[in-house]
Amino acid sequence: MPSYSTNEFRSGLKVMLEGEPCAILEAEFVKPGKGQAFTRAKFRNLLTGRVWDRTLRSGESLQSADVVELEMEYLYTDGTEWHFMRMDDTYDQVSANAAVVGDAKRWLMEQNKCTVTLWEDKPISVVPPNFVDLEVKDTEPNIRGDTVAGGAKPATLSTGVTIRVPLFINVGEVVRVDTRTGEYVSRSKDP
Amino acid sequence: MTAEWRPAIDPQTLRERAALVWQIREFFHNRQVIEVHTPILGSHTVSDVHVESIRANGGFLQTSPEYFMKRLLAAGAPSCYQIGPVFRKGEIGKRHNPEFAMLEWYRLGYDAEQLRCETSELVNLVLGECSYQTISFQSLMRERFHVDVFHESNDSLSDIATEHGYQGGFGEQEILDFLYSEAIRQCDAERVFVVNFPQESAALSRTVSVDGLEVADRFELIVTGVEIANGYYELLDGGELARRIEMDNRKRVELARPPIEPDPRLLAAMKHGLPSCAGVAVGLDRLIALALGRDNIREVMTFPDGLA
Repeated sequence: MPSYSTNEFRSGLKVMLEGEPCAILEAEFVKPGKGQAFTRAKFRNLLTGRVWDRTLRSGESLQSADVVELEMEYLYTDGTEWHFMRMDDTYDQVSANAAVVGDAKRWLMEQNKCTVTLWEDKPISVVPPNFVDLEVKDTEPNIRGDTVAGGAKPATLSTGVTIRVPLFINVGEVVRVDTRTGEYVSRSKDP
Repeated sequence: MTAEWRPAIDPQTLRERAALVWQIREFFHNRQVIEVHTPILGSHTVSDVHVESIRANGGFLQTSPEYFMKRLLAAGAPSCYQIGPVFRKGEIGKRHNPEFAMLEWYRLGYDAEQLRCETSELVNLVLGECSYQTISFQSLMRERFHVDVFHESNDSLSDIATEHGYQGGFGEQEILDFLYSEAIRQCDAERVFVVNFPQESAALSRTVSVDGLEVADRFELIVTGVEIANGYYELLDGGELARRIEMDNRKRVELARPPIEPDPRLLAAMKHGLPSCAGVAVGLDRLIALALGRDNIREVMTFPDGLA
């Protein structure tokens, strides 16, 4: 792998720090009056999401991290692993465990296109599409005449997640959800 | 695609900058401190271990006008100031540009304290009135890290540095540099003069004994965490300067940096006799950026790195 000198540091660069892949968030050249020049940088650990503040001697290098983000299709889960397929002509498959899939699993529907981050070809994070269409499996029936604007009730969707939906939504309908906020957006336009 | 030709500074800021520089010139004019111009390209340069000069035409672009201004003073010049470009290789960042504007002035008969006072008056003029705190390097570090850096072991200083995210080398001076840069960044007071630095960083300042400890009679002015000025009670002893250059060169060789030949003309001028004086250099772009509320000095420069 190539390495990057501190003067090449820029936001978005993926490097190895303390044995773990990190993304550089920001980097600043620092030099006390008579002293050694440093580079003060913020790194986001791509495994844990934690942000590390680190200061390096200017001119030092960090190994680049073999990290790629790929659009992949979610295939299925066997309960312990979630399986994804590359959408290029290799159709290679990778599997991720529950810890890697994390909260994304609440939204994963077969054939969803997800952003999977691979480190040395192994998945380290899964981001679902921003919007998913999911079927309502269970919710209180709509009470006739109850059309108060802004009213909401819990509904359990096909992936098992429970969200708040408007009172007029019934079992069997497909709703669009924003996965970043977990909020109902609309009835699905293409049921 | 057309080349990026526009300056980094906008026309209004250009006007505001000009007005501030005018005020600065007036400040010195009113005090009978004369303006001088010395060469930007010189045959010799400073030996500071952590300052790299840019080579040009068989010589060096000057990193500060200090050597030339001292030769003027040795030849009988009165107190004088200079505003001009200086160059430092590889320094690029929010507060660094390889070429930047420096305001440097020398006061005959002043000591460091008198010059701090005048520096604060100049800064008040540009940034508005404010109170100034003066704190020694040792006390600043004690306040921030709860240790006496002059007497603590290198191992425990290394541990403190690591706790604060330091990933560099563990030479004693390097760790002090890191801890110092952390300390000033998080300084509570808005304007602080840090004084009495470790004697290793004396450069061209005198050293003085304080509580049995030999320290550099130097000061740095820190404004909201940013170093704005660096001042010396000037060293007069050319022999001592030659010894320091030799020491710098030993360190430079250790760090695989080119050694710097001492400037024989400066040493000759000091041998002839430099009058007792104090001098200070102000990073003019930083000061103007602070005055105009800009976070990045590029915004107050015409054509910074990448556009020049």
